[in-house]
Amino acid sequence: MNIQSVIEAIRRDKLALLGLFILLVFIFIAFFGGELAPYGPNEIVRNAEGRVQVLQGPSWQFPFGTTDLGRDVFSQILHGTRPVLIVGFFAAIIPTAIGTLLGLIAGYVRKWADTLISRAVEIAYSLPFEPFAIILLFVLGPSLPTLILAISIIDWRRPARVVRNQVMTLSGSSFIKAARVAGASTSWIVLRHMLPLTLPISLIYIPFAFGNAVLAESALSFLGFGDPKSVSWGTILRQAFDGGAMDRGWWWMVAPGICITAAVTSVFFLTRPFEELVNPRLRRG
Amino acid sequence: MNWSYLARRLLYLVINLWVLITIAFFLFRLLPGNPADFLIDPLLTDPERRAAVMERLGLNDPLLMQYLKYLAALFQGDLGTSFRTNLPVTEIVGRSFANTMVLVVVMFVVAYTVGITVGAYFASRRGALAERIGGTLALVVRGAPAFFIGVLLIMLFSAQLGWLPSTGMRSGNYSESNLWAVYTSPDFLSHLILPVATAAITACVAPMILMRNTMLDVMHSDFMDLVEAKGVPRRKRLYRHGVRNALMPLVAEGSQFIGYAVGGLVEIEVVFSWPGLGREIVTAINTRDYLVAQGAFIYIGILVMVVYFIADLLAAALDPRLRRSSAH
Amino acid sequence: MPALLEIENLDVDYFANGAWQPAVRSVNFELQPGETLGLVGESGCGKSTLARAIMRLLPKNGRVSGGRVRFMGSDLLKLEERQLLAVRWDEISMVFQGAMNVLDPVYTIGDQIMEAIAEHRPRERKRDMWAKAEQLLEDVGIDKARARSYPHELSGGMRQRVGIAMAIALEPSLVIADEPTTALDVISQDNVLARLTSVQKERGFSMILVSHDMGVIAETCDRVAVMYAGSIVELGLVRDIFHRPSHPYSIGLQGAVAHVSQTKPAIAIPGHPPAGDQRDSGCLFRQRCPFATELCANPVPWHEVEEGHGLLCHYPERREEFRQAGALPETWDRVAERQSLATQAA
Repeated sequence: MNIQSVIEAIRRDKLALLGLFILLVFIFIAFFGGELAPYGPNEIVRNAEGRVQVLQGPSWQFPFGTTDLGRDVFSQILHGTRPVLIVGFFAAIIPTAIGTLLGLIAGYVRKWADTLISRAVEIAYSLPFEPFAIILLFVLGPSLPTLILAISIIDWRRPARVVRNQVMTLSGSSFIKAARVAGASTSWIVLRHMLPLTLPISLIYIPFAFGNAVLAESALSFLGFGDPKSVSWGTILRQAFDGGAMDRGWWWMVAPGICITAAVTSVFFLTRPFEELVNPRLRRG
Repeated sequence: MNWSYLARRLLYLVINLWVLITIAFFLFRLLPGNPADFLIDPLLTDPERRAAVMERLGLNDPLLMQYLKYLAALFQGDLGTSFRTNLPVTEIVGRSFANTMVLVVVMFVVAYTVGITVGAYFASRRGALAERIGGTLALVVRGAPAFFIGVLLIMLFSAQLGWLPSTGMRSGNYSESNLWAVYTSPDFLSHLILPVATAAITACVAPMILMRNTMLDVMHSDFMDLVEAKGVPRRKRLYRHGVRNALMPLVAEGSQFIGYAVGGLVEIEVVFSWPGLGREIVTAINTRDYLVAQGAFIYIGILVMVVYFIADLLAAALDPRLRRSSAH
Repeated sequence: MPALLEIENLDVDYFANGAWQPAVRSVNFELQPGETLGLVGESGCGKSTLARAIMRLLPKNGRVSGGRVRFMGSDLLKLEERQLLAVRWDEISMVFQGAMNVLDPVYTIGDQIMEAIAEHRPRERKRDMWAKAEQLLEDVGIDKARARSYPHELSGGMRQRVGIAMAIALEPSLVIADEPTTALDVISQDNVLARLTSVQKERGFSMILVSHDMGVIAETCDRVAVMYAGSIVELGLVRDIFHRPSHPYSIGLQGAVAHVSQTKPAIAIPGHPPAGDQRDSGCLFRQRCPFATELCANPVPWHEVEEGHGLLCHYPERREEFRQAGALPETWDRVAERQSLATQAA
């Protein structure tokens, strides 16, 4: 699997291209959204007569309508993109890196390391994410870094398990045995041989981790445990929910929800061709 | 019946349970300030009374001592008392447990039944338009947050159409004679539909995709050639051999979604005001009723573990290789 | 007496690298009732493909692109799905290579044998079918109590014998055995082979035995077809082909098998067969043949050199000479030199 085949695979799959496009749009907004937004995230908008623009439907001025306090939903969403993507990005990279490392150790060193790490993985799987994260965030105080921490503490489990299995399968292969016989040290083998082989699997996991992280961040924000200093999409949804948007202002509810869905689904679309690359049986026809 | 396998799973269950309880113990002690604070009602500010309570609860003891006392209390079924209602935590959380359990059971049954059937169908129609559209739709649903789907369902069926109630577990003025009637009354069921639908929708995608992939693998296995050569028609091949063989890896791998699915119930319970463990934790934390939060957390953890354990047993029942003691 | 099986000009293709490539070309042979025909050749020569094509068991990326497979008078290739399912197993069955994986792991072996019977004899009672399954297991030397075992509880040799039991369950007229002993250890190979031949003697079915092992073919078959790069290059009685191999490939194969009595080293035919997309219409062996000339780039005719013994070559009349030269290692060394010169020039 090399860069060439990766690019080729993406080019051929229209949905993957769509996913890539959406992702790039969001990344762009994450960088420049703050400046592009017509209003501030908590700015209350008044019209020419000074009346607060409460619960206005979608229009040219307010593409996604306004909230019950007169805030522009579109601007809120633009402002909210950056924290969401920051959490999504870091809470994808960090647990994947940790998980890969632990998986490598567990798979190669085995014995006590494997037992310990595998048990930890199993426990991480049996801990329900949201309850645990809620308590952790409450105790540590909600903020972007603690959000990233809460997600990372749980999300390393899948790459760890997958990498461990892969490494264990590979350890039995002849060229590894040959390297050992030739006197290569454990860390050398792990770094030089195992890592390049497990890297594709780890890398493929990153988009999924990103998707999970975005969903987790929205859920936690929705439940009221998000970063109080920023207005992430989940927070907007919470305000909408509390503000009776379901009856009075559907746009307020639907817009951020669609954004979350779009961000997460775009990475799923993007990784679909890789799914087929890794598992040839999935190829169509 | 492979007793050593069963014994091993039970041992792991116990260990995981112990770790869960220990994590619960230490989580709250991470609170800034005096870690012992969390056991005392934060609204109790009078320093003298605080000191008295601290003494009574043994909060001046060394940490290890407190931990052991905590374990001892747990064994006796004592999870403390709620600050807000003065009821034993076990009573409050116990009721919520039952309510969440109902959601969990129905959700899993619906989600996995739908997921497996549709997944098998997609596998048999690989490449056709229905499968492509269905597959894409599945990804979109997977990408939507559970609470958003819940909200959409409410907006459609409750706000607009007015068919179904949107909050709570039953209407204000219910009165049923016995437990069975409570859980099967039309009023209860009408309140159950939307939350379960939301939960099942989010939970069925992963098993669906997994089933499709597993079926594709299985249908291309070597033994399928022999079955085909024997003259077994296509449909029988798919179900008698394909699905049956796919079930085993499905259960084995499908169990990783359990934690995710149960965890997702928290959002759903909040959206629908369903009086379950998830909502209990959130309200408890918001009202600083720490002991209830701790209790609810432990109960949810137990719930997840029980479901995992059942999944393990199911896997063993399905795979002849695991059943006999010969195996490894 | 009409032949049981008549293959006429059979062509089979595989789809690979974006195009349909030839796997089997212009195969012709007949099989009489009770006869055993061996298909021998190296990996990739198309023998397994041919075997599967007869039963229409090709994978999704394979297709029959020409010819006829006449079984008891009717062309199998033209049968409807329903008729095909009826013929399968009842008249033609197959013993697969590597039985470790061809048995469904979640059903007992008794159940799987019963499935074969139940599919074609729906009126029989379960009790009778189970008894039949047990009887079949005994016929292949497995204790009938094992009928309740799962495949993973049996050894490789036993599983292969289960495969044989299943194949003969409905008393077919033709059994195709695709490398039945390849995946087994030497001792099990012997057992399975012996079992297969004794069962055939008892029941009198025809058999097509596919193998890359000349020894196996020599022990069990009446006639043998030598395959190379998708075509049959020589066909005849086993003893004729062994004593008087006439095609340069068969000659090379013979020399490649070292006998205990021989003191000279075994020969290796230099080079390898042409891949699917490199096959033209001339003789596909000419790159490796010591006697190839420019004529060999033309389509090759089939010649009968004696009763029931034919080959695909431009120079059948020189076979005696080829046989003598082919026994000498120097002949093949010259081929190796020629090949390396050709690669250097390219």
